[in-house]
Amino acid sequence: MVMTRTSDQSQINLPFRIMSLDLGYTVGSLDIKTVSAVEYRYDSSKSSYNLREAYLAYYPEWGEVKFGKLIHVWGAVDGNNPTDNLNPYDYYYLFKQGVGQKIGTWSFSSKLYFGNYQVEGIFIPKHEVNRIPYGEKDYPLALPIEPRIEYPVQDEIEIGIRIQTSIGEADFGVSIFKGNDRTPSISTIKYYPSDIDIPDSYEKIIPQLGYRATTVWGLDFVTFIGDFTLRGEGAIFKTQSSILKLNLFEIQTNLYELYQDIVYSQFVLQGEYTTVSDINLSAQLIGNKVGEENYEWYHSSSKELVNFPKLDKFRPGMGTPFAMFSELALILSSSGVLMDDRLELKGNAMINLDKKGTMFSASVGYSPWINWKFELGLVQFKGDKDDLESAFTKMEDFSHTRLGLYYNF
Amino acid sequence: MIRYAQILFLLISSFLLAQPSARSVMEKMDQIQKPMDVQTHLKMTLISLKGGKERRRSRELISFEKRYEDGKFKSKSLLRFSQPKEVMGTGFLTWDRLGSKPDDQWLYLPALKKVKRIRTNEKGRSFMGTDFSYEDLSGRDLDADKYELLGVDIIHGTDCYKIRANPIEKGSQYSWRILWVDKKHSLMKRVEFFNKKEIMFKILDIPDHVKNGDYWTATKMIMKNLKNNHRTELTVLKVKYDQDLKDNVFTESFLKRN
Repeated sequence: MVMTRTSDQSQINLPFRIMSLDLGYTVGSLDIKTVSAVEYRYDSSKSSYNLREAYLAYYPEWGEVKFGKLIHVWGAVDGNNPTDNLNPYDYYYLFKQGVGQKIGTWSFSSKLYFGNYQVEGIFIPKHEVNRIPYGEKDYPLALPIEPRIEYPVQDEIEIGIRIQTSIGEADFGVSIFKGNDRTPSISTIKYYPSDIDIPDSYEKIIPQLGYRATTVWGLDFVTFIGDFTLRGEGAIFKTQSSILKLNLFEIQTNLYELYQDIVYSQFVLQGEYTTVSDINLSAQLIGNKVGEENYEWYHSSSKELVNFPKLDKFRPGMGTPFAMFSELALILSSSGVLMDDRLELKGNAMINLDKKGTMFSASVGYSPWINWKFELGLVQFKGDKDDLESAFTKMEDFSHTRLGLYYNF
Repeated sequence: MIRYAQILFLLISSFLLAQPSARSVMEKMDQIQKPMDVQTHLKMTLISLKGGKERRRSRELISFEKRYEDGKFKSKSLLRFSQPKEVMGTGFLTWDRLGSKPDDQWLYLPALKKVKRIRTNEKGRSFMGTDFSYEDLSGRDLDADKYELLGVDIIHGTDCYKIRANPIEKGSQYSWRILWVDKKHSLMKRVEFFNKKEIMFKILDIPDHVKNGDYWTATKMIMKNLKNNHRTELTVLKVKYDQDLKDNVFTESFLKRN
């Protein structure tokens, strides 16, 4: 696969999966599966092996039990699921559809079927975090350097429960997930007041990062109105700073802790329709909103409140990654296959309804022979020149064409 | 002259009296012994004509079907693609309900690792890009049509009754169908489909049937679309009957296993 910028035809050097291998073995009600990939990048000619999933699944008559490194899928809409926070995201593959953008976690899951109900429980013993690009000049949303995470999470264990049922011709799901943010946020600062004599080259404020504890309540549904399918998903996130358990040697006189208690929400509404000629059309409305936002700074050793200003705009550590693009966005998608599956056409447009900004993508896949496919894709971002902080503006230089050759065996 | 007319009248009436009614032919076909469940390995070939040359594209799939004689369901079926690799694991689960309630359908997409509940109200829509529509594959109730015997004919070397089937209720994509039913074994050999403009636009040929134990199997079905000169061949590679398929085969869990 080769990606070139539309602005100057220069090559975009980012890692990509040059090979994926899915292996499975079934014995009666038991399945053993592994999904692995080899990642490669042109600029360094380096490749790395990645075991994406490896699990054992047991399918008794009453449900299913899985154990191992797993990618879980929750929610009703196609991608951008706010209720699905069980796996971290791999930001290098953010624009990939489906499970390709997620990272497997070592976990145990069990699903039980009771008549019209499905009850699923997931246990994750170790907190895993998003893979965020650092120092990638070709990835506009990358952070310049990898921040040092000063405070690991207090409680590694994460738990999720989801119940799904059918009422009439509709399916409803409710879920709760108790875990930790997958993206770090500021947890403390080391502050050197101006009257302290330190060299000018030293920073006066040193932010230190950690992961907040977040609980997510989710609701999702799918229903049918004539030939239209309506899917919806909403989640309320309650995120709180972890109480730092600093030992005596860590407590410093210039250390200040940020305590945050924030409620935010995300929703996705999706309408879809398939034409008689099998063209799939869908529209997704994605929104996110910060509700209650309480924060306090206090001195770490004396526990006295201090009147520090709010440092930054609140950034969610969970939920759909597309929430960072816009407060309210509309995604229009269409796809279809022609010529007996030889030709596949896809088109997407993301429109920022909150501020200026659009993303347009289109791809043509052609399969001249069984198991071979050529793909030509185009992604174009348009931001706002007056808003340099907008993700759409930052991504303008990432507009690219993509040429790929795929072989399945 | 009058004597000749009388003989001709007797011959015609005895011929007509010897013919069974169209309804009884269809009833006989409907009463053919059917398995309670069937597992079929199928090859589906899409054939198009371009520049006088045939272009073929094949897929293989495994189908599980179970009939229910009581309860809420008429039948449940599960289809899973096994070839080519790029669609391997894609599956359809259908619960065909008794009465007027619409079918429950789910689609499993391995790339999304997700079971999606879907709705296919449009019965005339093509099934997976083939020349078969969902209506063609769902099978028709005996009482869904009114039948008229048109005569006899030979199709695929078999003596057949030629019957016109007119849908009783609205909702079918066809204005009528012409059916050829094997006289000896009561098996469907050909169907001609007429659209709402009363133009024949599809022909289904079922040249070969094989009897496996108590059951007949159509080993090949060819659906020809006359509008675009395209056809779909369904060939049975392997079939197993009455394996006592458990109900959990027709669940989301089983749909995801590939």
